[in-house]
Amino acid sequence: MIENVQHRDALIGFSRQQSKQIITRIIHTADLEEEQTKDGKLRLVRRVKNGFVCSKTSRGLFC
Amino acid sequence: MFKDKPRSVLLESRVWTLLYQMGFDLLSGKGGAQLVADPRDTQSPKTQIDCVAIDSEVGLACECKTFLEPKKDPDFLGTISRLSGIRKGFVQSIKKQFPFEKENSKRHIATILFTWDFLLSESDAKRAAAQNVVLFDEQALEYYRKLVAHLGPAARYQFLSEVFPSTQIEGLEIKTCRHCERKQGKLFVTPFPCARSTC
Repeated sequence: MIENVQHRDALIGFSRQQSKQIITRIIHTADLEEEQTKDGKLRLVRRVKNGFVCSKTSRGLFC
Repeated sequence: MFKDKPRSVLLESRVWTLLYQMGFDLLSGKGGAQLVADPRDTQSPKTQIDCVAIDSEVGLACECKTFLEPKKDPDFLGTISRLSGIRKGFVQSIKKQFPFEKENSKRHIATILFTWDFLLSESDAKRAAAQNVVLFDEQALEYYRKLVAHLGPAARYQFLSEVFPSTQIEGLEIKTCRHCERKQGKLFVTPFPCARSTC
């Protein structure tokens, strides 16, 4: 019997739990916070001392 | 920020990625596959195989060996004997666990040794061939990595031709017309008897 052989589709990508762990690590590393937008989606923001909220997007950090 | 993988892990990852890109349906998971000698016995010894790739045509058991600097393996014979030794169990396990959809089909099985910075002599290559172990060094691996980047899953056919040289492939036999004994080629694509007016 061979153990630990699976279909290719089951071996690629991250599980829901792994994805959550990765996002948590990114948030901690980059000192970000999760914030809910008006349409209910979550976005990552960086809060700075003077009260501005910086939003982390794929194009960079906007304040 | 990233950390380099150890060489042995890097080689295994490269081989696994190559097999994935070649489109094999079933692959070993993290840490490789384990071949259990007797599945009914929980204490049964397990043999670790670095990468396993299986589809409807072939089954490949791959072992990856590397050194930190170019070196000759003092136990090369032991390495290929061990790899050759798992062949029988591997064939039986695949047959039982992953049976064919079509009856009377035969899956070709190969044991492959991928090496990196291994100094191999001609006699080593002969010994490996005698034990039915196919050898791929780092240059061959790099070649197939580039080929698969260009051709995608089609690269597997060149790879398989190197793994199974001179092997009869089902469905690719040359057929001859029973009436005129001509080989079926481009001109004779219809079933027997062939479409020639003189036949």
